[in-house]
Amino acid sequence: MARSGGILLCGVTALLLSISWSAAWAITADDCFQCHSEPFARDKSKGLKADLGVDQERFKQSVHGKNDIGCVDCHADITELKMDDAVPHSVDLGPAQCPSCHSDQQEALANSVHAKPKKRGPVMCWECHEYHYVTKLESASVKERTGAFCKKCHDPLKLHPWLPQPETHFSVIECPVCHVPTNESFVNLRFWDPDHDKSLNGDEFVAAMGTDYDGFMSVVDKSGDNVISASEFWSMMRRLDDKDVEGKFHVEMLADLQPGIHAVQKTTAIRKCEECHSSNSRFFENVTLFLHSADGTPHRYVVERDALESFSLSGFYALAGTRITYVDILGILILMGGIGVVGLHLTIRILTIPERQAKKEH
Amino acid sequence: MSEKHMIYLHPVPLRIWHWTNALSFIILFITGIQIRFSGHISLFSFQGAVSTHQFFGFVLIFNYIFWFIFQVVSGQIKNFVPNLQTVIPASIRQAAFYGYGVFKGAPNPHHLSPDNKYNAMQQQAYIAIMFALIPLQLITGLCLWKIEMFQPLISMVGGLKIVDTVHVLLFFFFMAFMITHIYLATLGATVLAHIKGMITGWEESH
Repeated sequence: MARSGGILLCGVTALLLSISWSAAWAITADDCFQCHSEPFARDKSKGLKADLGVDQERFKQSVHGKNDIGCVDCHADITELKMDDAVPHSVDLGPAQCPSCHSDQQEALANSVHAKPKKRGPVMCWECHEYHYVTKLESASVKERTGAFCKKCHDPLKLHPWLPQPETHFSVIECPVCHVPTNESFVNLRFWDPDHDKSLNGDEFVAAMGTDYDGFMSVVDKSGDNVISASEFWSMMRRLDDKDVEGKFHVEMLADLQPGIHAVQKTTAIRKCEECHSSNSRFFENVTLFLHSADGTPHRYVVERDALESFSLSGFYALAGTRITYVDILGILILMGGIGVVGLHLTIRILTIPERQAKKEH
Repeated sequence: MSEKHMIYLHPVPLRIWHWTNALSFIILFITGIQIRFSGHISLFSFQGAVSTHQFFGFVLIFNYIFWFIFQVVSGQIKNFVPNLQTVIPASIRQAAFYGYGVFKGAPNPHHLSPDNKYNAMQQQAYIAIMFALIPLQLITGLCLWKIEMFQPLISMVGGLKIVDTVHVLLFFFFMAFMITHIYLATLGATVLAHIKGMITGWEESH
């Protein structure tokens, strides 16, 4: 009994020692920032030679910084620092190990055009993500998303000479909507303040509606089905109008931020206009009203597709895709009116031929 | 047998304008239906329909400018100006003819001449069509052709859907107009008198 107690004591002691040992030698971000907090370059580096400094404050605000991801969690081939050496770690480091956490994204990327570009090696994560300062993209607009990603390398206007009105398309549609056809996409309604050329803060928006984020649907969704119908959307617009809230909804088509969004395609990208420009296009099925708090937290509320096909969203019209049915009914009535008058007149004219014939003979 | 009285009513430029207009309208109707009801109708590809619609839209614009200049330079534009003192009774007489007299074989109260081509009802209809509705259709068409370029104008009138609604309702109106126009063209001195006149320039008087 005494012997087994001794073994247990030894074991616990060894465990505590090993924990304290590794804690003492764990590499923290602060260790790295001793050198990397200032911009600097190293010619002897075999990987990146420039831009080796990291803005500590920006990193802390990044999605990785906020989640306490340390430098060596990604730069995993640094296992120890020899602080007495001129360079405390190897100068021959591999790229950051993003796939160790983001394996689904890596798998999708491997099936994308970016995995095997024609004139260069595979596109690295950081080339798009600037990964020391990755921020959440839910609140980003089409312009912000494409500007921060695709437009770094690609000029959509030059690459789509066949596309009519490319500026209009690219101001509304995010590249992956067409270039990752397997990824879900949705229509985003963002309240826009034209006077200041910016989307209105969600806090201001819900305050104008006399509620908060949690109470928003109970104010707007009168039917209680958790979907803002076209008529409820219209009422909401009138209410904003009554409260003198200047603005309109900007309509955007965004890709859902799923790992699969990395499977960017070139040859199989959607090019057929009818995919969107069709009365039964799937691209207008998922519509959400999007608000974001001052800190960027997104709030989404489901909106019925019919709202897109109404004058509530008078600034947006996708030919055939979001047409207003009542306009067509009115148009067909105008057409039927013309046909009806002609048909009636012609009928009477034919029926009265004998009368005119008789008059002529006299 | 009464001798036919022929008058030269439609000079060559006007006839070229008319038939170019007619062809353009028909193509714009067909492609417009394809564009508007894509998903329900598949006569052509959407892209093909849009390109063709745009091309003939521009044909219509240049044709309109040509027509307008011709009307002003030749002085024919005066044909559209109603006599304010007689327009109301003349319109009533003309409406009575179309709604009753024509069935009874009554003579057309309007007498054609190169300086008096349109009856009072035609004058009013053509003033509205040629100086308001066609320009409106062309301008809304231009807005839809290049949204970015015409965004200030689009925003001023309330947004793209407003512009589109005007364009589409006018589209249906012009389809109805063309049907009515073709039918009314059979109400000349003979069934084909007006149509022949628009081909040869010479028209049999009422």
